Amino acid sequence: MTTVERQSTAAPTKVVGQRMARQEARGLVSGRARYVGDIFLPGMLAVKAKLAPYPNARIVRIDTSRAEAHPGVVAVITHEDVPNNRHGIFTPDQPVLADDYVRHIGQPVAAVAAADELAAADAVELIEVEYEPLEPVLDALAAMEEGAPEVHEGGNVAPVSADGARVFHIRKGDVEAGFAEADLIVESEFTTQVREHAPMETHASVAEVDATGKVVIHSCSQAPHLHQISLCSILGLPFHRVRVAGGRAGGGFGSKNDLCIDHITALLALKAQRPVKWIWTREEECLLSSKDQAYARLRYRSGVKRDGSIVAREVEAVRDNGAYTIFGVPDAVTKIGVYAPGPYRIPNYHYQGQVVFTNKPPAGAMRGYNVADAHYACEAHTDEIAEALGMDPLEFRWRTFVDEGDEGSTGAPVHGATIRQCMRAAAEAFGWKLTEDGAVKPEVTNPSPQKRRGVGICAGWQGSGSTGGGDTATAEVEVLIDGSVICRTGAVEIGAGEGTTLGMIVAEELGVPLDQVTMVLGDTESTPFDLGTLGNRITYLQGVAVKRAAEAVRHAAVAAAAEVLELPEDDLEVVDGVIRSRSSDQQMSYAQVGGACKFALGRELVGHGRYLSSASPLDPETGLGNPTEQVIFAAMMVEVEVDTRTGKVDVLRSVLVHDVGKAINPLFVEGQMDGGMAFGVANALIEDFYPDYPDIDTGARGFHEYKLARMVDMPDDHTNVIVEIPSRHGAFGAKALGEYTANLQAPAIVNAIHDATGVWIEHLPATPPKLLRALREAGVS
Amino acid sequence: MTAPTRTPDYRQPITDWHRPLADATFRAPQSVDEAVALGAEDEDVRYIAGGTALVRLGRWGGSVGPSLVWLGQIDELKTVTPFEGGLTIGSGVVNGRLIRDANLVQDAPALGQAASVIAGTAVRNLGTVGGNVAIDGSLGPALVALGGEVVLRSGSGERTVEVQDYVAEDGIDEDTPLVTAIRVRTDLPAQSYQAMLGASAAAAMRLDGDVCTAVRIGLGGLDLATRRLTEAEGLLTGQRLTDDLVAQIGEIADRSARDGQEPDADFEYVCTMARVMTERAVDAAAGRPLR
Amino acid sequence: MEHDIAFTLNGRDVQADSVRSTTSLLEVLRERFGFTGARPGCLSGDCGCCNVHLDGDVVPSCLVLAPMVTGRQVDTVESLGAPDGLNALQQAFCDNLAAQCGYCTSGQLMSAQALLDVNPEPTREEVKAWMNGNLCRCTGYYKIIDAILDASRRMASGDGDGQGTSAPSGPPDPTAASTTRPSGLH
Repeated sequence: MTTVERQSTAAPTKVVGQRMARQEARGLVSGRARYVGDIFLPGMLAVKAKLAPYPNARIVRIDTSRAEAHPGVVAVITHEDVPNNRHGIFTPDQPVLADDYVRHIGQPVAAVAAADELAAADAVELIEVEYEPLEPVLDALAAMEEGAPEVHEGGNVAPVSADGARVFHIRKGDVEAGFAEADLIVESEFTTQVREHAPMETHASVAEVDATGKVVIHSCSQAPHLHQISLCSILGLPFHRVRVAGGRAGGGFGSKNDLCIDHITALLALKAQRPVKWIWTREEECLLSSKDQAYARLRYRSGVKRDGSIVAREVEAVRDNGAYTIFGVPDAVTKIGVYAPGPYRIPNYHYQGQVVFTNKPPAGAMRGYNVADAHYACEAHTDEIAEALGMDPLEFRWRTFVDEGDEGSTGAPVHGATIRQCMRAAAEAFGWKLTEDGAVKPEVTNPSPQKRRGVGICAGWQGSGSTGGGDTATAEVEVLIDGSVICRTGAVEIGAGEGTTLGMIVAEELGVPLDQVTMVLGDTESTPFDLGTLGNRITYLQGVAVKRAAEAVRHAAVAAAAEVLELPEDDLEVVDGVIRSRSSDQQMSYAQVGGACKFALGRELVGHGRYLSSASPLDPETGLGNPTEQVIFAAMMVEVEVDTRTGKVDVLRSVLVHDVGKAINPLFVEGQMDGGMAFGVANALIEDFYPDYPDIDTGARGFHEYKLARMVDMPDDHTNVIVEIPSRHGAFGAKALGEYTANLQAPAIVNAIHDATGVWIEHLPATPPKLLRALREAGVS
Repeated sequence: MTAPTRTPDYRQPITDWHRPLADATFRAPQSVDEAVALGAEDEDVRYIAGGTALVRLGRWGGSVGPSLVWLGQIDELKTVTPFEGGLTIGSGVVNGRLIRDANLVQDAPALGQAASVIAGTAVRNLGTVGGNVAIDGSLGPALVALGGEVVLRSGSGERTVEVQDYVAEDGIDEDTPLVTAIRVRTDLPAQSYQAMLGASAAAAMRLDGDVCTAVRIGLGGLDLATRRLTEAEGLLTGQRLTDDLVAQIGEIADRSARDGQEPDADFEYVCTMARVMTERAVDAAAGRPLR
Repeated sequence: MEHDIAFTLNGRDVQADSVRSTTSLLEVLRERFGFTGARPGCLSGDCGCCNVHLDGDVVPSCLVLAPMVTGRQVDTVESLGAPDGLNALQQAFCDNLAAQCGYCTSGQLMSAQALLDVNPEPTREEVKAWMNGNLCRCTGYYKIIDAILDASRRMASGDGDGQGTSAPSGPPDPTAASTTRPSGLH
């Protein structure tokens, strides 16, 4: 049963808070919904690319002449065809098509547009590329040493600031003094694996050139406006000559945050002067898009007192960033430092983060973006401390949870600290006893000598929106002459119900039913700027922008009605979508006001809304500041069964708790929490993308090798608990959620495995072979 | 706890990218004789039934060969025919039928258990018994436990080869023999198939109380050629099943998997699973608790 | 080698001319007939996004070579029900939020429909065993299972098609299965 804990005393709502189906639900279930790959244009060509067959090689020569002569081929491009061949959201270091070197397996070197896929693929094989293979940089820690081969000139550790510093620090308080006070110092070290986002829709792109010469790209991007910036730079075209027409993706999970396909199709469409389409194979999806980050080192050192208080914590993080920067600096290296210490009261904190280049596909952002890694390391470390103190893991956490107004990891006070409410809800649903005297974990019974059961816990926090300021959202709401409503935002519907959620906010604000509202999403030509559907930001940030836009249009409607009815504005109120006079029986519908605006008053009935998060960048010296406006909290408990003869782990039951502030649509909230379960369970137990890289045959070539969580991997007995303690900022009190739901499972499961067997998993995932080896070393198998 | 590392040669380029399939001739004979004749005339012919292996794998490199002969229209390959003490399962019987056909489940439960770990429902509706017999692991261990024999037809006539020999390609000398059927025995009713990452085992037994009076055991895996554990069968036959005895069976399975080699860490796990799955198959077939 | 392939598609006799032997059924459905509900996800039979019915059995259309469907019956998700005439399973998918990004949804529906066709009242365990080859990266599968069991109940109670039930954007029945965690638990 889904439990809802409410502290809200807000005004009753009619649309917001309802369990509503998606606006496009009927299209999705009847095969009618359109994705980019479903677009067929007259004269359209198919695209294939020549991919780097080596992890690291110098390009000696590229000869495309035989490919150009192949029947059906219309255009072939190499780096020589790219006006500006370097791009990157923070650091422009990634080539569109490789020129001097290839730096990871699968990097595109050339691309072909031809009559059909087979002709394009055959032509690709006729492109001759002569390489000089070089020793690849594979191990991030080894890459940091003096004399290691370099991925890029200038060293493998990325500069984190303009002055060339290569370590990012957060220094709060005095850690040395803190450690001196400690009764006990606990150290742990962890690593995490590379994962693949694996949206069911691989990247697809259709590009065409219209009659005016404008490039139009039908894109599955999560961030059309961000991509437009890079595309204009690459193509050397002004913004009004490049349109990214998106708005829907078949899943993203961060893989569609950064530009990796649309630039190549745009270049080919321009060269061929024909529409082109590229749908990636699953193998291309594996190798050409950015990957999840792997942490080659997550070292924790904590000083604690016998009473359970933490007096000092040091965290050292080394991110294996693959071949190019993308989000690595300054974003990733900052973000993990902010959340690494966990939702605890820690007066003295020192974080050191580094980002290292290796000859692997570049690390971008994936659902959970660094914070998932931090949760795993922090919460396993927390259990180690509890064990060292001889304290119940829940009790230890309870004694040291951060409370309202406490100093956070970067010095700013924490507002909206609700970890205690989340954890109490988890404990109640799971049966982990929490009293004034302490905590008692639930008893478990082993079903047989070789099958052992245990319980695990995780507490967590994360931010809303991107880290460190500049996060802005804009929206426009228009009332048409029949009273129907169009809301335009740059957000993209990637499956979480972004469009319907925002539409519900608009409908609520205007007092109209949801089916009177149409959302126009993610098109650089028809929607206002937005960073995109990423970083936990749509409901929280974009929600405020659309709410304000709706408010603005409501005010404009009232003003227009006042003019038409010749009544003072303050005599008018909006009730159930009708503008009524308080003093008389006069009233106007939105349709009447819309018509009056258009034909009598000569004005548009349009409202604009924007929101700029109050978060700010961290101080580059101290790492202190206020990197997020709204911290969000969550808690989880699981019970697992470990087969000590095979190393297989079954998750038997789970409780996941999120404080969402206000569930705009509880059905969607559950959907996100359910989906986070599949991500999280697989992160804990299954997914390891290319453990043998540069041998990619054991993972990175498709779903036959790279396994996702399946139906049978999920615990049947799973409970979502939705806590609603309103945000001071978000629309109707809503906080962020979507990205965050995948972060708590791995630590909770790892802690449960420890509870069951005494073994610590220090490198994710706990695959059966790996766990069995550990069990044997510990003498448990 | 350290993970095993491989050191692949970075100078070896990847050449078998996933790409569209090159064209091929495609012929659909209506009878086994016709199919055999097509196979005999051209050494490049590949028989294709469900295509779940050939089409899937062919896309890496982009070829299913120049000449396909599709067996899907030959009805005689899709039948299951009983004979005294066994069943002749046509090579074109789809794997899903091993799970859904009540008679098959009754007579050869290990086959259904094995089929249920092959891919998903949809793929099992395409993939056939004849296509899966040569894939290590998969149906192989269950077929071995049922005394499976592969019926082969070629230009030179019909022959039968035991499944484990067929897999090892022992005694197959003609070009492109057509698998027409698998004959399995239903003489040992107590059956179980157990699988875990890289190793699967099947046992078929006849029991008299807790004494095993007859047994066949099959073992295989992705990197473990399908085999029959005759030494283990000899040890079990006529014996009362005890924990110690089953552990000895597991020991034999482990040794067989190792094949005298010192395995790397990945294969060490496969060997251990060979042991554990074999023990569990024997225990489950005998109705004993799994260890 | 090119083939002219005649078959029955969603109840109508059709012919695809000059199709190469190694063209997949998936490509024919999408490119020749515009039935884009079946979608490429892996082209290796591992995800289920392209599942269709072939002579009533659910199969991955990416692994079926086009000439293999000659004379046979192919049904795609578009045959289940149009947006204004959803069948019970489709309606249950809507009401239970069984589709998030929607990309795998057609394949999930075709697998689930094949299950309900042979087993109208499956248990939760039967649903899981049958559906295990259909990957979904969004839902964690919970609401897909809920929807299939919900559809089974709707069919048993005679609430067959989706007509007359909740509008797409209206609030679904508050007693719908989506309000509770999986049924049939301890």
